Amino acid sequence: MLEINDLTLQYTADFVESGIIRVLDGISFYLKKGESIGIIGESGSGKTSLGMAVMGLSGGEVSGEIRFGGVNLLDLTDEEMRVVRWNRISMVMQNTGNVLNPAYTVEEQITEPITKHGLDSKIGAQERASLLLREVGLDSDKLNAYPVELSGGERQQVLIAMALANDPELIIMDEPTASLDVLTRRRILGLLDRIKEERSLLVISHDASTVASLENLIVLYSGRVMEAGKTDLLLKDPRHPYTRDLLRAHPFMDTTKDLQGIRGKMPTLYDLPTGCRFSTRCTQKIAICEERPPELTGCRVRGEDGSQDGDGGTYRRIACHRGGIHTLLQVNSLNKEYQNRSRNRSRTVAALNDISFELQVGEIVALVGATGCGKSTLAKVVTRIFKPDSGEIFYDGEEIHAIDAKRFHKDVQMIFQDPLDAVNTRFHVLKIVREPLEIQGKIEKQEMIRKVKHTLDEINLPSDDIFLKKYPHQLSGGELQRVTIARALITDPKLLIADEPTAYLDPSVQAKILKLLMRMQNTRGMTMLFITHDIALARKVSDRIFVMREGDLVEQGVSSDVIYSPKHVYTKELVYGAEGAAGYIYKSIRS
Amino acid sequence: MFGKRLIEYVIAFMALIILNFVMPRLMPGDPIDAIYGNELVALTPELREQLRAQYLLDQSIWSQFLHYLYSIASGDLGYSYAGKAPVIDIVAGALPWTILLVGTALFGAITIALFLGIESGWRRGERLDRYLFAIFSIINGIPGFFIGMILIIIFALNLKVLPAGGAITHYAGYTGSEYAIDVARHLILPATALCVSELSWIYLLMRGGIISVINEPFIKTGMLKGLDDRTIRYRYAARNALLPVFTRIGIQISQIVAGILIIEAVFTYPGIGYLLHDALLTRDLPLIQGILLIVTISVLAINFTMDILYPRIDPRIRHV
Ligand code: SF4
Repeated sequence: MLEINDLTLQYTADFVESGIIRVLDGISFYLKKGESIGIIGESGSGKTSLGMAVMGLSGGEVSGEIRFGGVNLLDLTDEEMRVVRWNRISMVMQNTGNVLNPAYTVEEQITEPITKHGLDSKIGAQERASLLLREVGLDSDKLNAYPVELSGGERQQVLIAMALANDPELIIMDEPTASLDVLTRRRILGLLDRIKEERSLLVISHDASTVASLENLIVLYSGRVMEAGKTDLLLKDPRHPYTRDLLRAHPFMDTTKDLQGIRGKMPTLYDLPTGCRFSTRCTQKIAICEERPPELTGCRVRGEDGSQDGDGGTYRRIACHRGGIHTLLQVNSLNKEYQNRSRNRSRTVAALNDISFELQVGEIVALVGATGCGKSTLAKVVTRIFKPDSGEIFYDGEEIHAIDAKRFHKDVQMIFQDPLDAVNTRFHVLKIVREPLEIQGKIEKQEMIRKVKHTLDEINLPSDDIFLKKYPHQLSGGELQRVTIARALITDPKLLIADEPTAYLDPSVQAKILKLLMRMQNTRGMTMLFITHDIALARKVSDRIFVMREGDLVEQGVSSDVIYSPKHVYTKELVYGAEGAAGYIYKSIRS
Repeated sequence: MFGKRLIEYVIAFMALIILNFVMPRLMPGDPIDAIYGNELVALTPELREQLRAQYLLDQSIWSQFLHYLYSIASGDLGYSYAGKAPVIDIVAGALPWTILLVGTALFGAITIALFLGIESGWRRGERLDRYLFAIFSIINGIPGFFIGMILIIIFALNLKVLPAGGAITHYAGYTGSEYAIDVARHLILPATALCVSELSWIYLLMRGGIISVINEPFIKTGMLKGLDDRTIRYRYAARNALLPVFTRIGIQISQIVAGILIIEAVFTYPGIGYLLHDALLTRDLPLIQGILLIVTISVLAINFTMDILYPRIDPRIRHV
């Protein structure tokens, strides 16, 4: 019904160098009759302009095609377009104070398009107005109210009633739930659900939960589509780095992880990067990303069980040169056994039993399990400290044992449970932190000190000479753990493995260290494997959770799934066992 | 809220009356001298006595005030010795001319100014708007009497098509339609002068008002609804831009009144303004006082009516 092909919208502006502000760039999507679609993006992504362009009111230069019922709306004259508006497509503008005409009553404003388009007499229109008002859940005595007399929620309801007035086939809604309280918001969302049963709906929002119940979703960034597909899949398993970042910043009711903002700023519309629009903030970009923008193409989708599916079996498209979020570490069928000698009997214990998983660029995965379950062994195998008995590990596509040691250790770093394991107690802070750099070699001394200071600053440690000359025993536990974090981060690693990094710290220091790690992970876009025995902690820091028991990886999944609907018995045990004092919160969310 | 406004008006009205009562009595010397001076009429002792008795000057200030209130209420504003008639009669004779002049001029000014302001503001930056804006900006800087004088010079003195002053041709004995045409011919120049000088600022105000609402979201809503351009221009833009314009007209009422007085004086048009001009020249204090009282009461009444009208123009007002 609505088919948009290569839609581009730009304005000429003499105050910018290029003379052009490009708001929309090559947008294509379609919406079948009766379907609903959501468009999400931050403010400035061009989503409102997209709605206005469909209505023919965006101004500027529009090119491409907007086909509606087979006709390209861009070919219509002003007069023809005027007839399309409200009769066939209506739009609910963002609910700001003055979106309704302050001088007329609700009734006058709802009946106006009906009578002016000659659909009905004044009396007929008035009857319809009161019907519509009840339909959106307002008393008909609001008919005589002026816009100032309405609350924000009522105004939204009136706007929706007004949009329904001429019985259009398609309704476009711009931020229908913005600045409403929770209850009103729920009412409006319920209303949307009812509306979309009868007609096509296009909802524009910065807020992913507003569009969560729509069938399809498009993620817009700086005027380009980043990712498109079925809403539930896209929200659960975003494949584009931007979508993931956007969702990370958004509080869903079942979000378990702490919210994280997106590093950096959106490029301004008159100074867009030549390549991928997201390249200024992307943590997995490669050379080509800055050269030309990626096309929107089909992409592979991770199945429920973590397997890879060729085309996902579902409609999903993505614009990324790397085919979406890149796999950084791939582990296939790892096995490792221990000889456990006790009471003169020798027993073979499987520390790692056929372990397979993937880690993706920029994600935090928590590996949860009891002491002795093999999680530390796994960490050591992945960091090449131990050799596995069998199995393969690929780092960025290369078998890790084939990678030059220096390069590997520059990219993969580890933080230990006990900071004293990581540091030489006879070294002072400066020496401890710069050691990994020295191993890398080829770096000037001054530069090295500058880097050390910079890293210490980043993680909120003093970087003055007195501190640099301190020895481990002169530092508190928290400080020392920070020093080892600095040491791990100084080579700018891509993968950070943190093995119970806060186990020795008291809770308040622990919280600080965790926040710090998450912040560093987010700003640098590192991948992090966070090993812990504490599932409550895991749920706060991770995007995904792996559960390990006695050498087996028994469950892996998106954190909210693992926490709210654990599948394996052992996971259930862990989750219910961890409820503790917060159990009632957990239960109330579940019910 | 309405009650509060009403009380404010009553207080203002009282203050006015008291001022009018107190002023001559505060002047040094005998109030009779203050009111009647010596030049106008020979104040014979008998006349002086008669006046003292008339104003109850020998009695207490309270009974004087009550008497004063009583005479105002019964329409007695004093006696003009210069005009040799009661003040109220003189004023009543002049008032209709002023109403005629002001009515025509302001009606013309407001309709034309609003229309041009709306069309011009809506087409901001286009040629029509640029011309109108330039023309009215210039006119806005020219004082009313100057416009009046130019009109007199062109149409009355040079072209000799219209009378230069007065409201009717005296002693012509016109009746019926002839009389009406005569009145209209006399009205054209002063009404035009007044109209033009008020028109320009109302136009500028209306144009500014339109420009300030043109980017409001409800204008977009109107467009989205597929309404025609004229509906959006009038029902959406103008309707909402009107209130500030009306408020300003209300504030400007005293300036408008001043403008009327000047125009009447320039055209020797026999309304209140010209009367005041005469009274000032002859130092006819009772008349001056009477006129000021009538004028200020009129201004109060106009403001009051506008206050009542505001909420009808803009529903927002009801809630602030
Ligand atoms: S990897 Fe490249 S193309 Fe993909 S999102 Fe990042 S910058 Fe854009």
